[in-house]
Amino acid sequence: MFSGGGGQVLQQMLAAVEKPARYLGNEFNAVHKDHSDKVTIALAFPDVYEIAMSHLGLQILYHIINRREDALAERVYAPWVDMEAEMRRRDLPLFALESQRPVREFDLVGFTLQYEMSYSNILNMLALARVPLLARDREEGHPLVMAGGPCAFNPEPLADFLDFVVLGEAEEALGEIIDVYAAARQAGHSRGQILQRLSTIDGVYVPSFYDVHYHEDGTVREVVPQGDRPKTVFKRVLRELKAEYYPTEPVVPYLDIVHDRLMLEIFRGCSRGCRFCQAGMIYRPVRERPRQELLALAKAALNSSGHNEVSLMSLSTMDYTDLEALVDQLLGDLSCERVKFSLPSLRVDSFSVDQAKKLHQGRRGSLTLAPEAGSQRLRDVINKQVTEKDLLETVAGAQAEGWQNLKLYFMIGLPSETEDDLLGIFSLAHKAVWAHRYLNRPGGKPLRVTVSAAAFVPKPWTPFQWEPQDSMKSLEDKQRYLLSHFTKEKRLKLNYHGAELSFIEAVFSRGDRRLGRVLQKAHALGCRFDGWSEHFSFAKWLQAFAEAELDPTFYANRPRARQEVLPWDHLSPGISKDWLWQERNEALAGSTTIDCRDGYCSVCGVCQELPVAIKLAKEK
Amino acid sequence: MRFVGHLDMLKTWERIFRRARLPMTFSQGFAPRPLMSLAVPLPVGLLSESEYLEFRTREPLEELAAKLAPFLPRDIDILGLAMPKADEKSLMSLVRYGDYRVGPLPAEAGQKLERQLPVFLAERAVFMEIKRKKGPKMVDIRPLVKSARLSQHELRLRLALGSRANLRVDTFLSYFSLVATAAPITRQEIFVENEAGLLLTPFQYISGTQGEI
Repeated sequence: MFSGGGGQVLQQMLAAVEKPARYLGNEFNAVHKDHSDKVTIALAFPDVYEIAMSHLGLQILYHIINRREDALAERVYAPWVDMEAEMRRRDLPLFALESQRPVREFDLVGFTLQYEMSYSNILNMLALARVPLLARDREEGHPLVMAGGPCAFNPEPLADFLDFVVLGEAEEALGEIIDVYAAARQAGHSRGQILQRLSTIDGVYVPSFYDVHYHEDGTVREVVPQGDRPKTVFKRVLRELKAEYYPTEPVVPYLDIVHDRLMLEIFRGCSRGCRFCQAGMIYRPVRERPRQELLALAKAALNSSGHNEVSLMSLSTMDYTDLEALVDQLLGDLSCERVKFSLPSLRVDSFSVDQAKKLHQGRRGSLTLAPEAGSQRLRDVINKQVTEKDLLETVAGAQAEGWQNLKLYFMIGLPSETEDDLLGIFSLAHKAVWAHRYLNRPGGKPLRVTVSAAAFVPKPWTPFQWEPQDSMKSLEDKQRYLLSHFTKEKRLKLNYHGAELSFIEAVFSRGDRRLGRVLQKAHALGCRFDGWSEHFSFAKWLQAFAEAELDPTFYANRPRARQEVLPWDHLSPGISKDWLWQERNEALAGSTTIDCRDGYCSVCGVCQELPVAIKLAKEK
Repeated sequence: MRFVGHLDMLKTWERIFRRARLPMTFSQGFAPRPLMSLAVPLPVGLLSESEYLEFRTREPLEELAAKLAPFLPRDIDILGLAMPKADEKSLMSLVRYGDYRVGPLPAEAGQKLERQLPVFLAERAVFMEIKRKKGPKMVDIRPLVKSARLSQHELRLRLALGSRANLRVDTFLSYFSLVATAAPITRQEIFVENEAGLLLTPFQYISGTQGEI
């Protein structure tokens, strides 16, 4: 696109924006392929480069597509506002990073749906790419716009803008999509015919093939598939995480990104069963990679990337069955090469502290633990099986090992929450500061504790999918209440997000198709980068809802009845709705459910409905 | 690579060495860093034909270039390698001047410089306000400009560079109300000062030869 004049236009644009290295496309391991005779796919992450490049999922898909001779993947991320201004000023369309070709010229554009507050960026990127926003307005020659990722389990607010959606894990489905697309194009099929063929692939959902009918009160009456299409689309799931799916040649950035390290995915899925956690529900079951394979993958990827740090990634890394041997072997094989290791949040027990101690050799940054709720009662409700004693033991252990900083993650606004539960957040954090004294241990310095209190957002396909979100007023009262306590102890710090952002997130999390109108209005009003507080405008969103004549509280704050048809009921991760309802009732009764890895299956539905089973690296 | 910042460039070099599996030496302490430095930072947006990386390795010099080559990004070439004497000072402390090429210049900028550059060069002192971290400061930039020649569509500059005295190209251009993005800027060479006070390129300095500069 910039070929005239040796890319001079692009060079001038780059000279005019901050962090121009976001737009170079020439990083280590970036793949530059000839476009002729290939299925061309633009992998789009609707946020800024530093966040997009920290995401393992897109690196996996980039690797899987580019491995094929007959296909290519390039990356495109949301241009930061300064670059967008340059593009608009020069009337240039959104381009893919590697070839700098317009995104509009690709066969397929795939967006990852990681969080609801990036939806406005999807519309903005489509507009910048000059692809018609509405799927029904696109013609032959326009790319097919697809989406996947966690929010794809309720893509309904985006239904008008997406040609198709891939539910669940795309490693295998993408290959089938490319095959079907290539064959259909060869045969000269129209967009409609191609979509028809794509819809026969397991896990592929074409929103326009399903009609949604509503009751007068705005709830969904039914979702009717056209023709003989399946009533429910089930997610794709891998039987095992094959080594070949892992990107051993990750693209390495030229600027500091959020997670500038090698991300080693040691397993997928989590069956601890925390009832607020969508990831723990939609990525079931647990599938661990064998230890020897992880070592080989880590070494190969370190060699090809030049990274000096490895992060052991998963939803609950300490639960990897062969962790101790993995850690010891990684340290034995790689520490002479000065490779560092990092861990996401730790499980609350002494084993975790031991592993962290080994991996962090001398470095004592901060430890992160996630009790999520302040009282034992509420932790039972959410099925977070952590006791205060465990927590204090763990904290005291970490403190004895020399850690001085601790991060604690909590949520506010959980179902059934009372003032006692809130006070519990403060008192637990306070006890953590002085853990050694509470346990009558001699010596030791008090810790500095940073508490993050996120507002609970009920998510589809969780036991709390029927629950109302706490009102903004109530959330703000709770934040003030907490703050009034936290200011009493100087070693404690409290962080929280604005309730307004959580409210909009809750609306789109459990929204229906009608919200497409709101998104379009919000886009027209200039909403984008809503996850960035400096760009989020609550007033514009409220205006968009008003113009679309929809009430946001209907989505965020309304309790749903068991018999209500939920907008996402037809898009299943394999979990049964009955099981979720049962878990919800157990939750409100304060009764816990154990992890199915420990031998007892509560029949959530995944291993019954889908061709998959738990896969562990080592016998428990 | 012109848009990659200084620290990111150092990180890139560490990654090149790691990919080539060349052993590096590291600093001591809890957060060891590879002992590796660039003689002088290159401002973001500038092209360069002569960057100097100093590093320690146990690898024999003859094989280094070939070992690194497959792992270099497309826009980086190794132009030469040299082994300094054991007690040599680091280049960083010795850098005094940089040569720059600005161009091709847009016609308007060329005409402006044609009029104003001789006037500038005829002055003994030229004060201008330069933004510093602590706030603006009046600086006499004339002695920081060792030479400035305008030819056809190009401006060639030798400007003070390094820790003792420094004048950025964009600052120099801004004196003439020109923006740095008006034309591509290339750093062509840097010069260090030896014990005798002679200006040498880093390779001349290390090899002990005295070229004509």
